[in-house]
Amino acid sequence: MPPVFNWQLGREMTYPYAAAFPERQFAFVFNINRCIACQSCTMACKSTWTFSKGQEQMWWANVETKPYGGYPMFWDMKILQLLAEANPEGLRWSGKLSADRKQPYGRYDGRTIFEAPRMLAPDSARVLGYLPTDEEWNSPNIYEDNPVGERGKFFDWHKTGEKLPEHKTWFFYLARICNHCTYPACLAACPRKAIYKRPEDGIVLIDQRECRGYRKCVEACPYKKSMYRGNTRISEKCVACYPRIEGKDPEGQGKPMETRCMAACIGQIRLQGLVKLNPDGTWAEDRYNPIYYLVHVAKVALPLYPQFGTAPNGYYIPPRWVPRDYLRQMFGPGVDEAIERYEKPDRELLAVLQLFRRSKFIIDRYALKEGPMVYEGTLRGRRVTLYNDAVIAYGRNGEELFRTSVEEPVHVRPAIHANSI
Amino acid sequence: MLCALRIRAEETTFRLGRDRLYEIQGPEEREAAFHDFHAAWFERLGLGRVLWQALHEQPRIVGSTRVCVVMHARTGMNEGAELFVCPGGEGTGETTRRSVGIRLLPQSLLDPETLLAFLRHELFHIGDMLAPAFGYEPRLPRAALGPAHEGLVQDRYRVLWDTYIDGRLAGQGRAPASIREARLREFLRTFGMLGGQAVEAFARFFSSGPLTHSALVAFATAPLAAVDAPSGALAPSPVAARSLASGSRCPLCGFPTRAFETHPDQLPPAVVDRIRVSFPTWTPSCGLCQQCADLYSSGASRAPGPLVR
Repeated sequence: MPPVFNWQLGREMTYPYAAAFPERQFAFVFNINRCIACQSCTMACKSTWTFSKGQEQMWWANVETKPYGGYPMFWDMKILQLLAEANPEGLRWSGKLSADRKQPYGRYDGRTIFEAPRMLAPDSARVLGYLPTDEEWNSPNIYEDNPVGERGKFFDWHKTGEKLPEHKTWFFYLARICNHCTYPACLAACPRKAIYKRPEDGIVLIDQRECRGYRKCVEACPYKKSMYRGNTRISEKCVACYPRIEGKDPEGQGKPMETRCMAACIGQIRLQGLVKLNPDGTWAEDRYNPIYYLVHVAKVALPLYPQFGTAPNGYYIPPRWVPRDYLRQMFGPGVDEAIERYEKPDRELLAVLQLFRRSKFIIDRYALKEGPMVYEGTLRGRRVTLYNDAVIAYGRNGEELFRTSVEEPVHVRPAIHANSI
Repeated sequence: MLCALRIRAEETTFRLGRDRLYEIQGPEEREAAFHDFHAAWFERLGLGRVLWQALHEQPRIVGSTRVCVVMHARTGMNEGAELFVCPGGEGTGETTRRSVGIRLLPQSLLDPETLLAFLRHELFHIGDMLAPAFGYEPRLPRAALGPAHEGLVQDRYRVLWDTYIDGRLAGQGRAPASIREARLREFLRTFGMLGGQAVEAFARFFSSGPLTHSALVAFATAPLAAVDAPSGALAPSPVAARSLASGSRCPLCGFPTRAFETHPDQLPPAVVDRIRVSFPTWTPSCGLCQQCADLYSSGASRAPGPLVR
């Protein structure tokens, strides 16, 4: 297997194919702190792509309650268990967080799902994984809203468990779609080479004419976002609403639009874009691309389970109330710093966070326009100063998409119309 | 299918044949082709052999039902067999209206021995339902003591019927010898109130001659009265006229309890009258838990008049 460079792990790793990177990469940031599990994203995807016969149990986009929920059931616990068995010495990270885009989270010293040959069965398998049972696919909302309580006590929550910085009684919603990984495990495992990564935007697709339903992709994808359709005997997966990304949705009039799940997000947790890549797969400097800014400058958005080794292109702003050891396992070593920065945002971060869901078009670049100070005070012992800065979003061709401000505009209705619309 | 093929050299042939079907463009046509192809391989691999064997061991099912449908079970708990009867229509006979549904997990087909044992037991239930001598009724009689007691009777009935079925299967040499021990354990758990008489009562269901649905219901409703009846009689009796064993259920609230009222015969007549308003057949000899005794005593001692002033 040729070595490839995985910047999320800060090292080279083995992968069945030589590295090849798209011109731009589909990527997204989900702010978990805002998700209310309304499932609008889930239904937007369902009503667009998976409403047909044979797709009844198929949810390309889903929102699950962590730590107990999962679609399919216990997907992350199961793959983490396999990975732990492949790494008897532990899933260790070394080094420190750094500004180096080749090693922002230090270095992962454990084995990835591509590097556990002793565990693979049969020997011809290329990726460590497992095939979920039908039962595991049947209950997408299992354990919804079930919080973690006191260890060893069933249905008994901490009486004062809600105090920050970490809640003792906690859960959070994890919205998920395919991560359109840089090193997709589904692609690596397909015996027919039916899965490919588009050179223009890095979207991972299954060629429906080539697939023969071996389900190796379902087995290999650690995020379990490749799904088998019983009546067509073919596997299917999230297509990242590629016609919208291409600007072919009539609604967009030629402008690239965000996916359906992003555009439908009620909680305004989602921001999606395309990032430029260097020849080695690292992200090219693009300081005012909002995704680049959130991942590489503000460093508040982190990849989901980077230790799997697929270099996922979905990034999450971790929930600030959740115990850090759980989050470190889920998002890697950058968690503490990300939460620290998110809790105490600087002027630019606060402005960029306003870009989420102000438009259905893909934001290529943003610019800031400083505004007046509007608040000064303290929050949990820290000095806080807020400025009503404006943030301007630009599209692919440099056109202004919208502008918004940190303070939401408030309209005070005249007394005569106080109770009317 | 693929799991069954993994241990056979025919996988390549299967793959080649199936791959050709992917070339069919029409989705409905392709789905139908897949269906036929898999059905043919199902036969070829002999995956249905155990199903046929279990069915043919029950000639009454084959002769009295129109069709047997094998379906995909969602979970292991969902596996089982059921008898479906369509509402009667003009010119439709009993046999035409009946069908059997068997729900199985696909992987269950890969373990023929376990599957055969499971199907034998499940189809015996259907066989009993169809046997006129058994006198099966789809609904158990409503328990006088309320819904909680109905649930209890249903649980007991299930244990008795399972015991009766496995006893006959063991007698025919179609169930493993260990089944007696397993069923006895379950019986003792369910009928703990019988104490030392439980093993003898178990033998009546596991090893005795033909039983009927009504006999099982009678025992499930009043096990204590039934063991007092002459051996083999298993006749229904109104209510147990003996002290309740610790851990059995209070005849009033239906909850299991270890704190029965020690002298129900000394309850004031007003309390007994108040209990009889809700449970007309109750007598002090039936017993009651201390909580119910407190409840009805407090109600009886309350001064007449409106509760809210």
